[in-house]
Amino acid sequence: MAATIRAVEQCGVRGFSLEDVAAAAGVSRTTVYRYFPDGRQQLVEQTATWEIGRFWRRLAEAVADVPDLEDRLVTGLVIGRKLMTRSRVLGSLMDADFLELIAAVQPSEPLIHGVVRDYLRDELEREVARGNVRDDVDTEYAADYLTRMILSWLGSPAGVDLTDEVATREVVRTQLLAGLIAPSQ
Amino acid sequence: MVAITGGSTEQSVLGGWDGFASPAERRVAEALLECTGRWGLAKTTIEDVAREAGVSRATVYRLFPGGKQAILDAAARAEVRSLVALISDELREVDDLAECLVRTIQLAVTFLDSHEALTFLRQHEPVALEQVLAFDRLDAIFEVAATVLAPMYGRFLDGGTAVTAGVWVARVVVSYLSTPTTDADLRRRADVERLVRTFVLPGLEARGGQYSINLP
Repeated sequence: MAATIRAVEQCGVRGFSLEDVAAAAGVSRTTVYRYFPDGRQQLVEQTATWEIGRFWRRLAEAVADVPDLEDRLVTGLVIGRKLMTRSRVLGSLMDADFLELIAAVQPSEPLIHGVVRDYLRDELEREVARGNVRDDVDTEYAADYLTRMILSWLGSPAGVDLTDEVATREVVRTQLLAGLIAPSQ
Repeated sequence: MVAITGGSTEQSVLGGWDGFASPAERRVAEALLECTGRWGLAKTTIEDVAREAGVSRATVYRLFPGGKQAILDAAARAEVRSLVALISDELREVDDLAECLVRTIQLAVTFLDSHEALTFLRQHEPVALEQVLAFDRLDAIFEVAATVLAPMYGRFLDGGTAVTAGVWVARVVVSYLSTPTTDADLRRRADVERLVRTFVLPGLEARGGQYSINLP
């Protein structure tokens, strides 16, 4: 799959062939078919899924050492947006003409939503315990809302430059956290 | 209450100001939605669209060199415009920001829920729908919604914040409609009120104006 990503990076999602992948991986075309018996379509699907998994792992690593919830959300959005624009595969995902990629990724969306929501619920519960978040906040409800906002903003910043930390902090403060933070803050 | 019938021509309440260069363009876009509501996007051909719109195949291609996808994009933006026009009409007399936001979301959800082409895609061609709502296209849709909603919210908010509120509301509607949850069912007024009260109003109050949305 690393080879597929390299092939996609070189030739684009539309352009790459199984021969390119085999060459990049240093194996024969037959070997590629052994691992991906359904050929190109399967390769595209699994590579897209893998790349998305890698995206979220990188994002989790990037925010792991950030102690404050607000900083963590800001860092996540800034780095997430940078990763998305840098990756050829994820970049192609943003180009809506790649129907095969969209089809490949669509089934994993509820899964991603669920994982992000659960992560944020734990975060919010910790913040409630620390007194940073209002104690009457319904953490499940709020985590679901935050998940929606994060996914929506990452995909469609609608004119706001999320790689600009100042702008992103303002978005996080107003649209994500304003309704949640403890009144003393 | 205005009767809401998704996908029909009566929605173009703003008359000429619907983003189309000519009535023929609008007819073609409407024809595509008609056909999609009937048998889906995949099965709809340019011939079908031309026949439905009462123009020739060549005319369709002349108006939309990008083919079906270009017509679909134009149709989606036009539908957003007519939805917002409908909302503006409804909210003219409402003089409370919270009530405006709640009604905007409610009207949008009712409109999109009863939209025939959208319903067909949601049920039978989720990938095609996903494509319409994919990333950069969604940006364009948010921007259209914000541009048209902003003057309405501008009665209560400064210009930049009004645009922000417009995108925010559009974001909320698209997210909760495309990934529904029983905890927040935007078909229920109480759930919409809770969302607006919990997140949107405090956020608009807290906005320090440090970022602005650059509309094209």
